[in-house]
Amino acid sequence: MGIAFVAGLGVGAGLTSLMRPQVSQLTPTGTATLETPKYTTVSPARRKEVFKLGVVTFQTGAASIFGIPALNAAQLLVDQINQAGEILGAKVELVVRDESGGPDKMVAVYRELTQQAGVDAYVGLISSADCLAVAPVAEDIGTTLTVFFDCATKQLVDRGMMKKVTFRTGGTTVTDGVALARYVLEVMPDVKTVVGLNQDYAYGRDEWADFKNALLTMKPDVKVLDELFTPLFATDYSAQISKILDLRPDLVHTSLWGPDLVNFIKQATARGLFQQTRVAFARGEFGLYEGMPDDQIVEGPHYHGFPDPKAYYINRDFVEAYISRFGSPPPYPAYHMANAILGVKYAFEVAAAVENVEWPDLSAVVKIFERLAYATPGDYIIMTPNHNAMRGAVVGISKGGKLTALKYMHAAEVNPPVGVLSDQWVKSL
Amino acid sequence: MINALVAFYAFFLNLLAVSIGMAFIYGVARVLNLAHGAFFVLGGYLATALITRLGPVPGALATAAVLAALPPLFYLYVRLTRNELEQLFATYALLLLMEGLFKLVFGYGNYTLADLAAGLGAASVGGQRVPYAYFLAGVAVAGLMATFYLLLYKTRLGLYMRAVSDDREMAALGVRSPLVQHLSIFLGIFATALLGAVAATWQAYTLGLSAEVLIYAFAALVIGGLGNIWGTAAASALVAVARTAVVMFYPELELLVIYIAVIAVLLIRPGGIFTRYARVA
Repeated sequence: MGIAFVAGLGVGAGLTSLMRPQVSQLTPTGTATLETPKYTTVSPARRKEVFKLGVVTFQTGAASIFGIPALNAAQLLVDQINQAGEILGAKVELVVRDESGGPDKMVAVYRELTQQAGVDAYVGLISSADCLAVAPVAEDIGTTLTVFFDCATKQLVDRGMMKKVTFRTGGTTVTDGVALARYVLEVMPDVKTVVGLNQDYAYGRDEWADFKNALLTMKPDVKVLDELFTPLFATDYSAQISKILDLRPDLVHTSLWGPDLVNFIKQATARGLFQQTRVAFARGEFGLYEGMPDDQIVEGPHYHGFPDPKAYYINRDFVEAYISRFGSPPPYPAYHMANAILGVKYAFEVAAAVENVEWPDLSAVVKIFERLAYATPGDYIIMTPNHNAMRGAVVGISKGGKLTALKYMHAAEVNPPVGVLSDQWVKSL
Repeated sequence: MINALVAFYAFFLNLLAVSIGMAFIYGVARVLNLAHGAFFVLGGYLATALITRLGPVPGALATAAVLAALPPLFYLYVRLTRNELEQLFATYALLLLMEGLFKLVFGYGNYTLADLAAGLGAASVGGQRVPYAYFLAGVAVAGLMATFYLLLYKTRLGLYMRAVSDDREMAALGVRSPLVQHLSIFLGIFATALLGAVAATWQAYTLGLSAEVLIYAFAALVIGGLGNIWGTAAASALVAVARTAVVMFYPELELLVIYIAVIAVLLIRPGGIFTRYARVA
């Protein structure tokens, strides 16, 4: 109780810094968020000169389509943070590693970063398999704040794998599935038949199962006509497209990403699939830049048009800075990275403020992070005692490469409450 | 039924496109090129980049010109190796090297000509849309197969190639085997990259695809018989039938079907279904 109160004060202090009155400024900027709140302190100087931030994302292979924008965002944010007062006066330095190589390698990389490179915090991992392998090791070593920025497996929370130093600043496949199912039922209340088209590995199967369970719970008379699973990085979807054309479902659900998403969109467009059937894309935000046909249901875990950059300066500044540096709007992994890095920054700063020290120890940082809520370019991130973020979801209808009819699903409506198993919760919807 | 046929046709073209060049090079020159997929992908990247910048005809010509310059480089590279093991290492290293270069030159985006191809429109067959681009790609692949056929069976060089393919030592009595092998490497690499360019009309190219392509190429090669290009073509058709049928009737098996086919062939006819006699190495 006491801790929660103090943490609340700290969060309040953090938030005050980003909502500092901007009376004299004609063009207020969202990057005010990045400034370090200054506190007078009486404790002896234990200040660090350098804050080493380990960042692990895919830099090679097909998943680098996520990893590279994520690293771009990391570099952008670290530069901004360093200009705006660093983290508690320590200059942030990135220590970057490639996520390619599989779970065993990621465990080795984790050990190397934490025990040899001596990073002060670890942010990384897109692949769920990598997170599931690294989480127990991170908890076991227990020396380094570890933040998974993207991987969407619900097992991390359902199996209570994040207890000590491990956090995730994003939602799960349940968030995707429930948000999409809710939106589908809003815009297609009469949906009768559905076909699933997902990649044949844990992520694709989870995405489909969570969407299907949510949809069937909320509308039990929907019929699943078929469940198609394709090999990862298949370049040809003609057989699946043929089958969907023959089955004529009202709706197709897919969580394809990367080249698979692009190949499916192109091949299905050429065959006229979208004129016959509506498709709900769980990770369709990328497709918006790759010829996504109009009138499809698209979920991005983030979308650069939300929250409206005109109203929300933090997003406006992020989008502008990202475009001017990298030439295209930030895709959702860039937002995921921002959620994680800003979380690390605020957790350290608020912990230092609450403990009234120059440099907080890890246990203080963890306690604070468990109860932190903070603003990021794409959302307000609410961390919970199960070390997972309550994250909302953005769903909309595609039109001319943009999302229209945007709807933000509140975090509390698309995530199970703390302590409730995902499947149990979905069945209670 | 029309839809099933289109699915078969599209996947058949796909498999043929990724495997023929590799089969040809292995057949004549006995180079097992692990960088095969990278050349296929390079063709796709280059065609997309050049055609979207320069327009269809100049872009296609520029692509062909650049691709024609590649094989000699590859040949010089492979010549550094002394035996098959070194070849595997060297060509695998080349695969990684080329992936690195792709990232440097083309970035992490998706490269595809599918939009351009979609602009050609579609025919209506039995009430279903069949894109004209599919027919065009079919013509291109068939043209290449015909060229291979004419080359192998109607020219002196083709005769030499078949002789070298059958028995390098015996052929060496009357044919300059190394020269013939070099020429076949040239042709195989060029054809692979060209087919990669053709495939850009239906698929997107991105980082990491080089290794993925290799799996399909190997499957077609193993089933058809190593180095047997007609066998590889027949194997492509067989796998396409099996895959289409699986997706239509029991989609749960799709991930496995190609591996099941490969394993079955290795168990029953390790030399490949369409190999008439086993070669003595």
